Amino acid sequence: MFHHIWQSLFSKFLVFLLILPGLSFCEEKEAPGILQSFEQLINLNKNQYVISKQKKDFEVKSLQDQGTIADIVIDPFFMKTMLFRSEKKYLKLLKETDCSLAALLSNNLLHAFERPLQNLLVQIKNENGKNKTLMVNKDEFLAELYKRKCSTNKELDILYSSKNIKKTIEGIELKVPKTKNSCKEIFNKWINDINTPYLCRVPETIEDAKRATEELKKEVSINFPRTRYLRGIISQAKLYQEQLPLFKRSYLENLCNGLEKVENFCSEYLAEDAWTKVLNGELPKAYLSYKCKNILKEETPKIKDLEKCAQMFNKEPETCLTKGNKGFPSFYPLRKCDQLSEVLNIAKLKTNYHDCPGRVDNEAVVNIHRIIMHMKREKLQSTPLSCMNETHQTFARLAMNYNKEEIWPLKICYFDPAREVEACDSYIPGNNFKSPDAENMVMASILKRTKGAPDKMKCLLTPSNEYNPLRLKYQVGCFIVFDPHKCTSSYCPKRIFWGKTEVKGIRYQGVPRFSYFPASLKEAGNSVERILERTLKIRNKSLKNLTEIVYFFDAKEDNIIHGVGCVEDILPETYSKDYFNGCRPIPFILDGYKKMDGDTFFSVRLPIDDIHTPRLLNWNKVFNSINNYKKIHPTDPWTLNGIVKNN
Amino acid sequence: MVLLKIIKLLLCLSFFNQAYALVETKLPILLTKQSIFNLRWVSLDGERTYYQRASGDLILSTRYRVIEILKGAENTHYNIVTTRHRKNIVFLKDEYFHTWLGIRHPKEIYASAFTSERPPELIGSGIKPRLHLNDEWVSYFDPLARVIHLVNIKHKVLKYQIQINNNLNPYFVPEIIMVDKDTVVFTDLNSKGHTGILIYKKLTNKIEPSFKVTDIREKIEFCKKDSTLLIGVFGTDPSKRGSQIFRLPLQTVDFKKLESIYKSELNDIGNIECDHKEESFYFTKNVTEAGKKEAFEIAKMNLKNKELKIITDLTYATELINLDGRLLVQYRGKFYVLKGEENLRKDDIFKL
Repeated sequence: MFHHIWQSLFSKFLVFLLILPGLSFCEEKEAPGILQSFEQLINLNKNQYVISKQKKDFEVKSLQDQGTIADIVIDPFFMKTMLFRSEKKYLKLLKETDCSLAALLSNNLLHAFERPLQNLLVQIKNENGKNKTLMVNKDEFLAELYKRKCSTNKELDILYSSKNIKKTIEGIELKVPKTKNSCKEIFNKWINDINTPYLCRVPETIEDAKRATEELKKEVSINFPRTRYLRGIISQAKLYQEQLPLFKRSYLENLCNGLEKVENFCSEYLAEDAWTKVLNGELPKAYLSYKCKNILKEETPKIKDLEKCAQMFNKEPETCLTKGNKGFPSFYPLRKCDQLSEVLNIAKLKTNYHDCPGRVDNEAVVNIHRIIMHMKREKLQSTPLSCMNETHQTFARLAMNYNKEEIWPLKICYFDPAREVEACDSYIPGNNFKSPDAENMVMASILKRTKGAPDKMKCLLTPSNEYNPLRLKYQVGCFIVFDPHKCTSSYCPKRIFWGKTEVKGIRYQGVPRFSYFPASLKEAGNSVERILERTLKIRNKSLKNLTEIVYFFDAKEDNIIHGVGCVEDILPETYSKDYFNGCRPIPFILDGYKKMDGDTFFSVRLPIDDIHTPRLLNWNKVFNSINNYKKIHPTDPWTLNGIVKNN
Repeated sequence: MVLLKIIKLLLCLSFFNQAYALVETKLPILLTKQSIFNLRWVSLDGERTYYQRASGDLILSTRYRVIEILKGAENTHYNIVTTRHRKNIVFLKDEYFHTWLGIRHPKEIYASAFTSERPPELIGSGIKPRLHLNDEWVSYFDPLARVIHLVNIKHKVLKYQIQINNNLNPYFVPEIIMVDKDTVVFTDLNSKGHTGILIYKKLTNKIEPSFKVTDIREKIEFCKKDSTLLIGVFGTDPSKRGSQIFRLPLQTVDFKKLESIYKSELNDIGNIECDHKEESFYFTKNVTEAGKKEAFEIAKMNLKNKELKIITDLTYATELINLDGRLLVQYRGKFYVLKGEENLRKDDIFKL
């Protein structure tokens, strides 16, 4: 607290110092006054300096020739010039001690009329108490200061020299803030850290090098010392770029450019975009990681990969329009990254998996899978080959746990030679070596029993574009070959190969049919609404209007809503109503809301959309879709329910 | 007393919530004798009415008689397609409407002569059937196999298929127009996801690309108006704005002759409706004002002088339905009549 007060007072003092020359000068010459512009003040200051330079002999002198020096300070007039000419952000690092000034000077962060500052006007007091003003070399002045007061600075000069900087910066923790408060704390720590001017030399030099390169390109008649200086800057910047990783350079650039105000520094870390929030841990990692994994083709994206994706999504928002769901077919095109970021900021659904709606043509199965995954907080290792099985498995387990096998009637049928009858075994579509009822496992078991296949033989569902019987790996084992572009859970022509031979006489049968909301009294017990209630121990709370929906979302952090409506009303821009009383019912999940332009918008998860690509749809669309479905439903139900966990 | 106050408060709240759904409009509401949501088709003169029963049957009511047209399982859902030519009629039957929620789920497609009172014949299985060439042909799309089917209703052996290319969007449904019995104009997605217009010539069995949208967030709509094809290009995503409607003479199907007749900087819904004798067409126009709630109305464009007129006042009219020439807008569970008789009660009394 004391520090803040002191800092504030010191800043005010600096401002006072800046204004003071104007005030004092106005007594002698014109009367510029306190309201005089900075430009005028600087010009005035420059003239004063030139006049003084003409009057006095400002040849650079050596301090060694000045005998015993009792005290040495920067000439107040020169100091004022430096304060005028230097960047305001670095003045924040000036403290009550001369050592902070020495650190800024040592790292070329203060300037007068020359850039870089090579000489300083100083006042020395000799042993007799007499004052003398003279121009001295900056390095000599700093050496004198280090000798008298600032021995730490001398050590820091060594630690941050070209030879040692890599190791020195490696040992410094560049903490990334996660919250507003932690950001403020980190910022204040940097402001009071003696290392900061040394660290800021890095981005400053890199910036100077850009200017130096331009100058060398443009100017043909630069004198040799200037050329040597510019080349020195460029090679120093190159060294920094080679020795320091991008994250550290970016961090230092943001820190040093943001020194003037805490908000400048924090805006980078407390950004409004969902991607940065994921990096900061404010939003679930899954909101970014699955898209990132898909785009970078990294099995397990590391932090630096996520940072790369976040940067890409912010800089190139069109990326998300076409990328992020490869191998996991869904509605196309997707949404722009900035649109997605807006929705993900309000979304609540837990999405630690990647499903593939395009391969599951019963949208209710996709919706239920998503609801159960949210309630159970599970994580799945989804791959393009396993995603369909994962979705079906969730639903099949739900049905089987509820002892309702009739709503999961998918079977593989074959001729059983032992009993000489056709037999059928239940299966869950897709590959899954860990699940005995997965399609590949059931098929292997059938071939073992009916065709004498070896016990260790495994079956694998393989896309037709990958299956090549000429390759050795396809000549051993069993392959269920399908066309990935023409394959959903209810329609998927398949050929079964064991070794090089196609197996005939095996057929698939059945489609899972069930009501989402009961269409008659007798169906009530078998409807998804009831099954979810009994197996997940939840209650469906009917939400009939906007007030109730908003209240429901506000009541609990992870509350979600599910419903069924007509796709022509929820997505009128894509699906037109082709017939009188036409409707294609589609289930959906609402997992957040926001108010904007006098309207209420929801984060909507349609089961045709990629799970990591929600839409922002307004209440009109949601209401119309539910209301129009309600009207053609036999029991006239209001098909929008909040999911409430039973205690 | 307290209870009374609570009831009053609840009534107020209920009114407030309902008010959101109420709308002041000058448009008349379609009135029917029986539940409007059981009706599937009503002729403009009210002589023929198709409706479905909860038992799963589709019934035709005409001239004081009731005829069973199709039979299905309990809660079977039907829809009907006709055109102003009134030569043939197409029926969609979905026995699993409430038990299989899938927008790609194929429905049984039947067809019969327009005046027939006999059960129609099964044509195939798919979605979005359309009548073409004076109702002689029907097209439909199989979304799972991604195949367009074209079938002659009178001679069902005269049929052919077109395999579409789209491998990107599993939920894409093509627009289909038959120019003549051997030429089909349809939409498809290219490898980058742009919607394009292609021409299939049966005699050469070749597909020629002819037009492509500039952005993957744009859709194409067709509406055949006599010998002219109206082509709408509409942005479907808020991040890409703009709508345009073109006119193309169908005599030569030369896309160099494409003429722009309407342009807007907003994303209209489209849903172009042009199956009537007038020299005009209807579509759903985006009328949202900057910074205000999204708003849509039905617009009518005169094809002669290109004059555009907004003909609804619902603020959120998204879909226009042509019911044998009677133009309807469905809004929050009610049907508003834009053109044609709104009172079907007097007819129904005698005919059902």
